[in-house]
Amino acid sequence: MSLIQVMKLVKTYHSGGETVRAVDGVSLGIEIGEFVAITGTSGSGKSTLLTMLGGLNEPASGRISVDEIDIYRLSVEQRADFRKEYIGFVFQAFHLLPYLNVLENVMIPLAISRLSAAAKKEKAMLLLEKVGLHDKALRLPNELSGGEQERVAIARALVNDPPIILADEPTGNLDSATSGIVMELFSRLNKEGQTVVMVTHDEQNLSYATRQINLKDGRLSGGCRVAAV
Amino acid sequence: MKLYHISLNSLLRRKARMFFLLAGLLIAVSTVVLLMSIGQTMNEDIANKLDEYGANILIVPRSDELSLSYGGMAVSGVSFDVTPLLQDDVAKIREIKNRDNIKIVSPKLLNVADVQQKKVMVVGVHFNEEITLKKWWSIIGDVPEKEDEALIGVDVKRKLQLGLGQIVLINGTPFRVSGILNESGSQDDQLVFIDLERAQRLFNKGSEISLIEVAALCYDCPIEDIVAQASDKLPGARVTAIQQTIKSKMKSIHQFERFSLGISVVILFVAILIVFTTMSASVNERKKEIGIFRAMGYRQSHIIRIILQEAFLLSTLAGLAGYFLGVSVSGYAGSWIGADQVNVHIDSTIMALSLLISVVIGLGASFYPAIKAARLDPTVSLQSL
Ligand SMILES: Nc1ncnc2c1ncn2[C@@H]1O[C@H](COP(=O)(O)OP(=O)(O)O)[C@@H](O)[C@H]1O
Ligand SMILES: [Mg+2]
Repeated sequence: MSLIQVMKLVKTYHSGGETVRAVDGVSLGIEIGEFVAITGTSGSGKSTLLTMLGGLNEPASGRISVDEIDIYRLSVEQRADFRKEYIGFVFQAFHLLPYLNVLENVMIPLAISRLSAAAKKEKAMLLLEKVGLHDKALRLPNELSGGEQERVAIARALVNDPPIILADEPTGNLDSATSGIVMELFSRLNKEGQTVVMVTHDEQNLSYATRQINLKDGRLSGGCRVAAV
Repeated sequence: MKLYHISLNSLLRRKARMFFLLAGLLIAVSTVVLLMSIGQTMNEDIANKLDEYGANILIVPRSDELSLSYGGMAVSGVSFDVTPLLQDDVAKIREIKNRDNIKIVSPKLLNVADVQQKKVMVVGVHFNEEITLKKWWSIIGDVPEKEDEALIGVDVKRKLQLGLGQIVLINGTPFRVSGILNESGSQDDQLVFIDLERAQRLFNKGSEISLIEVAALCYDCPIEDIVAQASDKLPGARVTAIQQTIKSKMKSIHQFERFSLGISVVILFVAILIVFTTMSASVNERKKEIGIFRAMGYRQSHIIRIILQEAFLLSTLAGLAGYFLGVSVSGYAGSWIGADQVNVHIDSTIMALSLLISVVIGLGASFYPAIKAARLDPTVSLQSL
């Protein structure tokens, strides 16, 4: 069975008396070690699908199971535990906390774990090293470039060793050279076995993915292209 | 890194807003402490001054008849045939259970006598006790020291045209006026005071006593208890607590205490509103941050903890600072309300109480904003950016 199993997923939003079907009957499976790119025009439902995969957004109907856990059958608090265990989120806007330094930002997911202070620090430093920022551990986020901030966000997403990384347009705010660095990082992680699901509308990024899923008006459209590796 | 680390850092980050909350709580707590300290100071002040308020217990022979009146109280048995109080009874008062509270016992013999052909009430007293009892007395001349000296009230002086050092005849016996009592506005103005034993001999009363005035210094034990104890010791006497200035003073303190309670309730209510609005605004400001925490796997309960921890840190700080501010301000306020001696001291009960008040308000008023924060939809919070 697939790591992520999506069945007939529907999400509707009501605004101004109108009902928008942001995700409209999506079924798909994602295997361990895949690097899936979700593409589509703006408003096609990519972000909605991604947050639903991460257990952050309850569907109107349909089912998502991750590692055979039907995640929307869990209670709200159990689903939080699920996210902690399984999901690392990376956002377009980095979403680092401005009042914590780089190291502390990476440690945010660890603040609720039982590890010792030393173990937390060691873990976070290890990941900062992995993204090449260990020498900037004590800087504040606003002292870093956009690409560096995104790498901190990636380190933070990885710090709990989640089996799945969900990234929503991680290069959307970066210039193409910096984007390249960040994408190389994702690619490297994926080659080490990390499952990555990434929303992107940047053609450049598609070459790093092992599979592309295209959304149109909340539905899967076109064939699934598997990148030639 | 732990959750409190996040709380602490976020507080330091949002200094301006948190300063507002801190100041609100601090002012509230310090005002309440100030009011409490003033109330306490007033109470202590009155306890210290208790002996300046004169007698508060009157002991007279038991009788159904009313004859003379002294100090607004009916005094029976002065000229009627009832079992009189005797000198021995005076000592018995010193034997009651609350004897330590008995400060002054002043026996008196009252008798109407011919003074310069006029009827005047002559009172036999122990002068040393009488002047401690009546701290408000102001005397021109000297308190009588010899048996043949008398102290006269200002009305007597006027009526009989007497002056200091003059000789006055009481029932034919000469006494020298050693002192004149300045206007006191009480019945004392119309009396002639001489030594008690001398009066007993002069009026052939043996060791009889008309009444005993007692000043019991009992700030927090009911005067009724002392009255009951004295009644037990003196079955033949009538022991009464008398109304006096201290009661009205106590009443004004109680009024002040009620007033401060009212003010405190209002102030604390305002503090609750301040904490509530500040915390709600802070939660609104931090929607995105809360969304991040939730995406990272924080439970709703973790979010509540982060916010309540911040409230706890702030309110502890405000409680302590407010206590010390209130105490130092009450140092000045004490003299302003006219207390002679203001004891600015660290009272651990009030300190604990102000901490408690502050923390209860801080946590209580933050509870709803914290729950609201925990229930925010993380996708909505994260979406806009
Ligand atoms: N919280 C929301 N409330 C109302 N409508 C929403 C909400 N989130 C998304 N939508 C709508 O759902 C559709 C899909 O949005 P989204 O998933 O953000 O698309 P994408 O990420 O592909 O740009 C859009 O029409 C958007 O306006
Ligand atoms: Mg989007």
